[in-house]
Amino acid sequence: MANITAGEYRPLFLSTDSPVVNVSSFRIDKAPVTNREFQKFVEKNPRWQRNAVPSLFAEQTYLSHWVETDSKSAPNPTDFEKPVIYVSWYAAQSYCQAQQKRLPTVAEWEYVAQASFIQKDGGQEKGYNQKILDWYAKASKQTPSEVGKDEPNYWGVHNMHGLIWEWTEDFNSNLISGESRDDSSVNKELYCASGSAGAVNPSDYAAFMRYGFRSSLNAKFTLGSLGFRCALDGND
Amino acid sequence: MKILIISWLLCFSNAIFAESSSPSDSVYQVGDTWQTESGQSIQLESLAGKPQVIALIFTGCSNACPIIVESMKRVEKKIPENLRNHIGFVLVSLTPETDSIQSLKVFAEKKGLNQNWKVLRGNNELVRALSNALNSRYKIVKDGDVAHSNTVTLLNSRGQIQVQASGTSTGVQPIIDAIGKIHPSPSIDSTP
Repeated sequence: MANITAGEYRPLFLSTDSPVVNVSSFRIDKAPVTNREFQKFVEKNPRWQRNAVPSLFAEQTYLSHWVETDSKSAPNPTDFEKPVIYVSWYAAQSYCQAQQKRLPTVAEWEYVAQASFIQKDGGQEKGYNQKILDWYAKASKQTPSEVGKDEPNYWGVHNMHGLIWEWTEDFNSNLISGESRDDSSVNKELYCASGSAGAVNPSDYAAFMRYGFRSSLNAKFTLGSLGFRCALDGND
Repeated sequence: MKILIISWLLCFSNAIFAESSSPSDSVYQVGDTWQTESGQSIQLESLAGKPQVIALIFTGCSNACPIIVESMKRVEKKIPENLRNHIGFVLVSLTPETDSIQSLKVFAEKKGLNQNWKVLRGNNELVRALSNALNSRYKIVKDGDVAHSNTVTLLNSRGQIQVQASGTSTGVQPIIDAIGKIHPSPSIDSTP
């Protein structure tokens, strides 16, 4: 795992005078969890087998990219080092827990993701955002390629951009603000043109896309472009 | 009752998402051990056996939570005579770190909750999982406040979601209506 030192993170949708989020030091997996790693977890925890998982925890497409062999499903050996996809939030959470880890929070994930190759905050670096957007603009390939093959960022972490989207612990809590009386408390300023002009960094369109994507998810969704990695409190 | 007994027998494991005897889409699949306001440790599946009206709350809050509790009390008042004591009410703390058993107890007393009610606390991972299972969202915001969905859910006797409604006094009407349609059969089950 990579050590991440504590720092400040300013959620992009808040205005420049709104409070920053303090991110405490933590560790994060250097690469997304692979099919091979997830297979080991499933072998030890048969409840997470494709044909055994409760419908509360995963959609029908759960692990649908694995192959059926002897009533068990397993990843194709050529996919071993590719990131596991078609996993729900519950499956990701349970995997991390089995490793005595946890899912990273949105703030932690974004804090790591804003690093470029050479500095903690690549946001203002020329070409940084464009590179991410170029990936978002590409049509997705059949399956993502193997993990850890890209150049690591400032923290030594791979694949924060350019491979898959990732689950976070509090993926669906981004749009809530203030106390709710009838579920109308979503932060309307985030929508469309009304809020982006007031955002800290309106040019960080890539981060807007991630927020939009995350809040569209339901914990049991399983998608072909969505995997995860785990985190842990504190540094080594 | 049978389900309840089987649940107890099978629930030796403490691991989150451990094997469960509940239906595949039951909220009780979240499982694990929770503490009640009276200091009891219970398995989530022990709530099976009768319909439960459940909501996630923040005991320290000043706005929506009292409304949720009052709305659930309104549901309780409207329960047909023959179903009294056959419908449970469950409040789950969104802030288990600050809500000690004692503060849950004080909360229950202050709200005058009777024996049909339970106030539960679990660990943060469990609460997040249960919240997701109930399609609720929440976020711990500044100064220990919690922004959360104002949803009240009616679960059938096996923990499957029957009706979800907004936790305001008029919002809970669909839950009142659904309870009104439950026939007091031996199992008191609202499953069609």
